[in-house]
Amino acid sequence: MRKADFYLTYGVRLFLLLLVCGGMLIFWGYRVVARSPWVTEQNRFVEQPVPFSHIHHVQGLQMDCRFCHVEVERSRHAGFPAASICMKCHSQILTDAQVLKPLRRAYAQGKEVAWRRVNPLPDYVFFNHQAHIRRGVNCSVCHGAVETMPLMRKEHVLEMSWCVDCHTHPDRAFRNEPVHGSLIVPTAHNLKPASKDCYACHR
Amino acid sequence: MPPLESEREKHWKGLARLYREPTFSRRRFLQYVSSSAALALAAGCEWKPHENAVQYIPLSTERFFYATLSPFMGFGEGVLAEIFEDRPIKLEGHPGHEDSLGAMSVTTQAAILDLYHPKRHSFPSPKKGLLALMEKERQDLKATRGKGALFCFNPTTSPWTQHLAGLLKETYPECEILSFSPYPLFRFLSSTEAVFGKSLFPVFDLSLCKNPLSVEADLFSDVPGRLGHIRAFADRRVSKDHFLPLSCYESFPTLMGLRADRHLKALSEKDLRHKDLLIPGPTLPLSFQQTLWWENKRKRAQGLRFMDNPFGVLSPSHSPEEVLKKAAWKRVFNFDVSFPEGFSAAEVYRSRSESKEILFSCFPPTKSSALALIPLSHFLESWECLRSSTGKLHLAQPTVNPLFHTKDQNEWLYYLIHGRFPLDKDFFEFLKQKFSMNRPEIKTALKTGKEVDRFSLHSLSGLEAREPEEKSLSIEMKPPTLITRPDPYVGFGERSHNEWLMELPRPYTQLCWENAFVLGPQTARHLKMKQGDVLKVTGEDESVMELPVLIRPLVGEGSVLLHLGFGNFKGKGLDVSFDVPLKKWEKTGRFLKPAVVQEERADATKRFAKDFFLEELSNPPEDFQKERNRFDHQLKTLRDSSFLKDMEKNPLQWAMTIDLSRCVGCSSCMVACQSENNVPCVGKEQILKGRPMHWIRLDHYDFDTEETVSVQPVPCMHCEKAPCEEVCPVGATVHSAEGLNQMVYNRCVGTRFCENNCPYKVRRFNYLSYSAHFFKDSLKWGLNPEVSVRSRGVMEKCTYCVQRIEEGKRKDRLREIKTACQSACPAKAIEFGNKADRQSLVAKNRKDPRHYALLSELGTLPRTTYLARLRQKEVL
Repeated sequence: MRKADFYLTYGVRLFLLLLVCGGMLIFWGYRVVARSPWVTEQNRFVEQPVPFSHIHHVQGLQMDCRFCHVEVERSRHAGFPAASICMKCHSQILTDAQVLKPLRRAYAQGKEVAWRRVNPLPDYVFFNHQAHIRRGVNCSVCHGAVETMPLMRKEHVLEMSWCVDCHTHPDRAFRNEPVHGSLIVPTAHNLKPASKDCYACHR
Repeated sequence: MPPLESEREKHWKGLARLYREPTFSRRRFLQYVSSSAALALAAGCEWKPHENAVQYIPLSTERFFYATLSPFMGFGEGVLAEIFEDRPIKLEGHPGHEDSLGAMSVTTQAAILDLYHPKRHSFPSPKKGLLALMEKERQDLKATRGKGALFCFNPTTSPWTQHLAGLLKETYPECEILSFSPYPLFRFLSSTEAVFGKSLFPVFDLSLCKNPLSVEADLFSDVPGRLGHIRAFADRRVSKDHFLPLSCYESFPTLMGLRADRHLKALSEKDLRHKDLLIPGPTLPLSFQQTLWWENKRKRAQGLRFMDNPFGVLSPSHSPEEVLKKAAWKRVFNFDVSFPEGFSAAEVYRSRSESKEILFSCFPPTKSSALALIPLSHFLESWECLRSSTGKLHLAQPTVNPLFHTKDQNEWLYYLIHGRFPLDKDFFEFLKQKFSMNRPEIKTALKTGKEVDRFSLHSLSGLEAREPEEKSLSIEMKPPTLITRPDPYVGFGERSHNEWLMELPRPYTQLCWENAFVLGPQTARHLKMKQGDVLKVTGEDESVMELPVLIRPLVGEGSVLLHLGFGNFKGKGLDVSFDVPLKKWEKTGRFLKPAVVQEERADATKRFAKDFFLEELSNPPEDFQKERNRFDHQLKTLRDSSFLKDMEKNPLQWAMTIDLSRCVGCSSCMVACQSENNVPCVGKEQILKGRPMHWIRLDHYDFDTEETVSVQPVPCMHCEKAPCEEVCPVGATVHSAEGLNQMVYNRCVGTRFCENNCPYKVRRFNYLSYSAHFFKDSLKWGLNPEVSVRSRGVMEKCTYCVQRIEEGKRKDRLREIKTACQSACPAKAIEFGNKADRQSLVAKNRKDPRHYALLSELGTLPRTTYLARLRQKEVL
């Protein structure tokens, strides 16, 4: 074989191999980057207009989730606390704290505090809080150990594969999850696999 | 990008070369392809900013219902307004109201769109100083004791409005009150007065008669109590006992006429002898109506009773022209009364009210010379009380605060009388005085929607009747004649702003968005016209109309049919007769394709909407039996296959049956589906391209020999072996364990393979972003939050209202799940449920001898199946 032929033959083969490998590398890299906390914002604290601390309210003061997220048991939304709910206590406690200024201003104007959403879902997902709570899925299954968070962060990324995992093997997902508050405790009875039909969430 | 060879070219062979179109080279093509791929990739990398979450606490987080009323011809049809997050998003039928029976009519359902319509009259004109203007008007009325003031009302059964109108006349004794409606329905009041000595309103009951004859009447769509009539008729068409044969004599095919077993060509004494109920149509000449009332009285017809004139002081004026001509009006207060083209009252009104009119309306007219335009509240925003078709009084309550700070007709009346707007307690005070109801009673009536007052009905035997002097049993008509009727959906144009109604195919003609002359095949042959040729007709008063023609077999010879309400009618004399004689008709040679949703009609070789005669019920025809057996066999094979065994394990197996014997083809299901599933309107151009969007359609089939029409609703079949699922390259349409054929919008890439492979043609594609208008202004408030709004490039289809299934599963109310089309159907033709549950009606219907599957020879094993229609062969 002539030298030029050798280079041509193997050079082309090497190029094609690199092309395939490079392509795979790009896809793999994209996957890694797209699922990295840098993109998904997993475990990143989100600045809020009022630096609300779950660790203080839940672990310190032993408040139930449903005290503020009033609609979680009867609506598809969990509901964010209205200013009036915060003011139930904060009309008496920390009445002149600087950090609570946006809350007091909103309450005085009859408006609500614009909280920043930490666990957003796409519009094509019809997630229902009521359905999950009624079947004994604890808040912490999806939202993580909220009671240890000084500022709210996203513990799970809420990808579809993650939802489907839990729908298929609820027993695996529920194990060792801290149970707090007085919500229904998952039992063997209500841990049967849930619907995996597309229409359960997308319609 | 380096300049291309062609761009570098400096010298050319001729000027033509210089100015020619730029060449599109292979290289340029690849550049475009790669750049668009790169841009598409870049567009996919969106960085979503953080969403804000602001708390909104509604009255109730669950959806709930308010019982209220929807006005129709001055009567009220019961509705339940579904409230979600404090606003009504859908209307449902009220099971406790006799004019609804849990079902809905087309126009009532579409009214929810009016509430949120962007074209709704939301600001008064002039914009400022409305209250000052009205206060001045009130002072003027007071000073002149109402002299020179005219108040125009629509006839209404509301005691509240009647009370206020009476009070108005008392306060301003010299004012004039005109009650006017262009609808022919109110002619019943005059014809009964001539026969029975007092004006009465008929109450028909199809469950009591044996052999009725409809004479130009349409009890199914333009008479109060229409839904009750449909239910009574449908209940008597499914089995041999109590089977109700229907005969009709009509020149304009109506919804009721399409269901008739026999069409009479002329009325003879012999035909009348066998009939036990004669139903006169409101458009008939008065002498004809009187004759029929008299004949009914002579026969002691069951199924016909009368109630006292429910319109009271607001009974339609006998001669509106005379009232209008009476004086030189200084001020005209018009409470949403339309004076359409063709009525002599309209002409007088227009000439005498010029620049003196204060017009109260929900939707402003396109051009108006009114002094002031004042927006009115929608009926879902106001207090009211209306009678049902048998005179039972029900209360209507507001379901939402007025969206645009509007007031309703009664509030303005109250203002003109008392100088202030009424509060809720003023309405309650009136109820207390008039019907001696106390607060708890009113509260219960509002909560349950139950009746609060009723009329006693007169049966024919209890009424004194006078034989009419001139009897007539025929309509004098010398061809050519233009036969007009108010449009079944948009009426005289009052609802023509409503896109749902405009896009809904008219019964029988299947025409939407526009108007056409409808001809019979003989007439078309005589005129040498084909469908779509433009016909020019000249009336006796030299008025000229030009419209494309539609050819439909049921139309008789020598007449041209026209629906009013689209502004096409140019002529006079509608207050005398709706049959307008023509001077001449001629072909123009122009062509306009009418927007018809179903171009191809009957197939000669095969019947899709199956039917057989009553006598064959115990022994169905052989080919029907063969098809049935094949379907059962296919189903059994499928059940035995290992793959499906897993699937059958799921205790929920949804299925639907549609009873063609019950279905009257009223299109209620189509609007219900549109309202429930956020189905957009596509417009006339798209319909002409064959791209309708309705998830359920009504197919019409004509017969060669018999004068009847088969109607077949076709939603998605949810086939067990769905051809669409096999061809989807991205798995956007897959089967669920409960037997639903799921369509996942966010996976769909829009190849349309599924649509092409679907033998039933029930899949709908978003060729353009039809749903963009949903996000305009107030329309977004009326969307169903449980259903995705589909964007451009996505396939969609019937989902069996999966949001309702999921809700039922969530609440453990599996047997109460109803699809939107099912709950709206007045005939109870659509049945939906779990076929694995042997108690369910669906499972029972699937064992019925009339049960069959559409196109069963394809082996798709549809979950939506049909029950064949029953007909009577010989009707005396």
